[in-house]
Amino acid sequence: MTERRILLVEDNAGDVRLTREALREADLAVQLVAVPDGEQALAFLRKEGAHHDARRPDLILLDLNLPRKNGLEVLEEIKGDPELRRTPVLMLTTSSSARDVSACYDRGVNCYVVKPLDLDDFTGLVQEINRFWLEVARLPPH
Amino acid sequence: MTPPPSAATKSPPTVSLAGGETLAARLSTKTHDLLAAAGADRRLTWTNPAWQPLLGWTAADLGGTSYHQLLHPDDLERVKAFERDVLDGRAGDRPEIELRLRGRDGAFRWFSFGVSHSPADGLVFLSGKDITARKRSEQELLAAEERFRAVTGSTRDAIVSADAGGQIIFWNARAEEVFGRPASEALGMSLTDLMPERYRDAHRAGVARFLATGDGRLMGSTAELEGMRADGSEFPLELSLSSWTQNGELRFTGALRDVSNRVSDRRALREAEERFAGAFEGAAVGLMLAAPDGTLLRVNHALCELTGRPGNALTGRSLDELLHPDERCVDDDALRAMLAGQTQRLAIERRLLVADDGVKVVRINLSLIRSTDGEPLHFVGQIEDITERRGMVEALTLSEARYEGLMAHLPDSTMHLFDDELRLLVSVGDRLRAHGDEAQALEGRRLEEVLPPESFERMAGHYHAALAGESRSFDLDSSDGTATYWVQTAPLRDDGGRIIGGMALSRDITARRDAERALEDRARELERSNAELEEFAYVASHDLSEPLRMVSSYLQLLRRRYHGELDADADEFIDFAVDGAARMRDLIDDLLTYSRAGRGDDALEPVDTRALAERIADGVARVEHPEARVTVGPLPTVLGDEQGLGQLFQNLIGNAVKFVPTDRVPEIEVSSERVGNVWSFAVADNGIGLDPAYADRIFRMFQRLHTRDQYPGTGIGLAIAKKVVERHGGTIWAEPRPEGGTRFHFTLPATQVPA
Repeated sequence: MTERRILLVEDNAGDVRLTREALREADLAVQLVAVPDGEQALAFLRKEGAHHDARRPDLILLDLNLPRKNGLEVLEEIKGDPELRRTPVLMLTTSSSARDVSACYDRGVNCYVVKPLDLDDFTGLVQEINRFWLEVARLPPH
Repeated sequence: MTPPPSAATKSPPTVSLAGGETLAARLSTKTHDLLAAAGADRRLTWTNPAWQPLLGWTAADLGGTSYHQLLHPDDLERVKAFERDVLDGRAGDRPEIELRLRGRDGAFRWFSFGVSHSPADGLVFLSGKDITARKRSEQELLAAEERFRAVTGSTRDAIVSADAGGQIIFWNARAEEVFGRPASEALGMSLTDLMPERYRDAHRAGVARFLATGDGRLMGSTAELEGMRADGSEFPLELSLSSWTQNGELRFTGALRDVSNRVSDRRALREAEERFAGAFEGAAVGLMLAAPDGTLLRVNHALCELTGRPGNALTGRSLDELLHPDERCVDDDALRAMLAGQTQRLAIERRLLVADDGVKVVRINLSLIRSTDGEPLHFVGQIEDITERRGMVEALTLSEARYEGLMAHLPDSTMHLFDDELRLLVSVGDRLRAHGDEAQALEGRRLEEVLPPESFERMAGHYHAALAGESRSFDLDSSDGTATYWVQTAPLRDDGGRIIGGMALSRDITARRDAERALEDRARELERSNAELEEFAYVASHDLSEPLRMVSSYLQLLRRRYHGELDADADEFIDFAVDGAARMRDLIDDLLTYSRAGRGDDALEPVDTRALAERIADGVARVEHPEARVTVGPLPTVLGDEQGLGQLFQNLIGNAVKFVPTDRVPEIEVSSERVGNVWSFAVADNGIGLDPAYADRIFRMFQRLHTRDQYPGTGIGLAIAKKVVERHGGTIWAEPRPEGGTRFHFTLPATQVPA
């Protein structure tokens, strides 16, 4: 099985590291690329500028609160772009507000997940996401 | 005061508990009575919200305060004696005491307090009804009574009142002189004892007719009759009669005047025609001489003075022309009867037009003078100004019965009666005195002069409407906006239904209006600051959780990776840090829940509270204490937010299971009863109980009564419960159960639930 790729759009370096640690503990063969804001995320996906040799990810993990372009705007652009919209996007955020959840699904998000506060829960969640989205779910061909 | 519902409706072993429930039930119906519980040391442990609108005290002000400190100094000793009686059981089954309590503004109000004492724990339950208005009207009644006595004592007329059976119930000093009987003898006698034998049958028939048909020929008018003194001698008298109703019973009041002198004057006139002119001119009363067709032939000086017109402006005109247009006719039938020799005299009361468009009420006594051969020569009329006396008789009639009835029920009120010229006939109440004059001195003067100009201007239209037969009621702000009155205007009619004047009743409702406005303002302000607080709590907790997640996650990671690799101190430090972060996480979680509980995003829907409570009880028992016994009685379906109500039951049942000593199996009972227009729910447990001193505090955020080691938790569960209940328009409170354990109560509106 080829190595799967995940794009993590997250401005908090602590969260990025935590996600990496969780993947490491689970000993998963996943390549995690992290970008810190919405504009870079879109640039990466469209292989623009410094990202000209980027490879399309299998899964996008998107935070809501991002500098510059926020998560909702990024989601809108991805799902409005015929080239990008097939890639599953998971919101991974601290917000449990019903308003945010609805807004994301309205814009075609594939899944909305609230970041657990507890480390064990978080580790479990990352593993669960990998198991389901990268192993169980059938993804579109590249 | 309303007696509390019988304790018999509850199970017998819990009589004092039933007392507590009555307290609760009354509170839940938002009673206006003061309710309170106090310990044996007289310190208030619980008060209901009614203390605030009545006295300005909040529960927080009062908690822990001895109610002795609120008493009027003059009442303290009396209250202490009463307390001793209550404690010794000498105060009867339902002890009550009237006393004054100091409000926050320093003013005192009167209350009638009912007290029940629970000897087991020394608790005293107090229930106070505001009787300030009653106390005030009692004082006003005394003053009105005194005034009535003063007026009847000083009048020149004998005033006699009798009940429907003709028994004399009032007899003034002048009556004692006129009839030669002291009041002690006259009271209780029959009216017929005051008249010669020959009138008695006619009198009884007249009274019977009036009682049966309301046809009172003498009512409101004046008649000349003969009276009988104690020694049996007779004398002519003039009688003004009126009736009134007191406590549903008919009463008669007569103003009587001995007119012996006047009659003999008249006789002298008839007998000495040649001396007529001198006597005519010199008479102190107004006199007139009229042709049989009514044309005035001659008027005397006194009549000119009375009418304010010169003699030549009167003679040659008809008597009718001098009378008020509404009642010109002098009664043709009576005149004809006199001309035919059937009657000798005619006495009528009419309004007389006088100079400067004035009107005076006069009594006209007409006599017919005949020549020696019996031919009618002319009428002699005696015209007496009775404007003042007429007003007084009316005032008297009113002052005894109607004032009592009206003013006793209407404190802070003023009543004006005015005639069709807008002259003040009677005024009662405080407002005119505040204007600077004694009300009595103002009677008879025009309202325009009596009232402040701007008041009169605003009221004049309403006065005229009353005179035109229209009754109105409306709120009126004073011109400077500092006061608001509720005003009622209505016509006054005589027995014949003719409008003779008007009434204006105004009640000062400023205090009520201010209280309403203040309440509205406060409610708005509270709503706003609550919304802000919720928003703040939500945002704060949300934004706090992000960095906290970092702290706690990396601490955990640190522990997981390096536990045992550093020294023992480091392990311990990390453990404390992990534990602290975990606790903070719980607090923030709860804070989020709390702020959401008040957001009211969800629409109200019918919620079957029994099914909900059972579901939650199962869940709680399973997680917290599998042996716990939770009994859910019949509970209603209410309109509410299911998630919020679920949280409410979760927290109450969860607490009930949690706060039970480890060696005891939790037994919880959830029940409800309908109290007025609310459902009152109760969650009772057999747990560790509750010190009443903390019964309020437990509902505040993060308030805990126990260490975390004893009973874990953040102390927010009840704050959330309170918020949910209040959001549904209910109240929540807790009390210790006498047999141990705690009982939580909350109310929810019993709204009609759509099927």
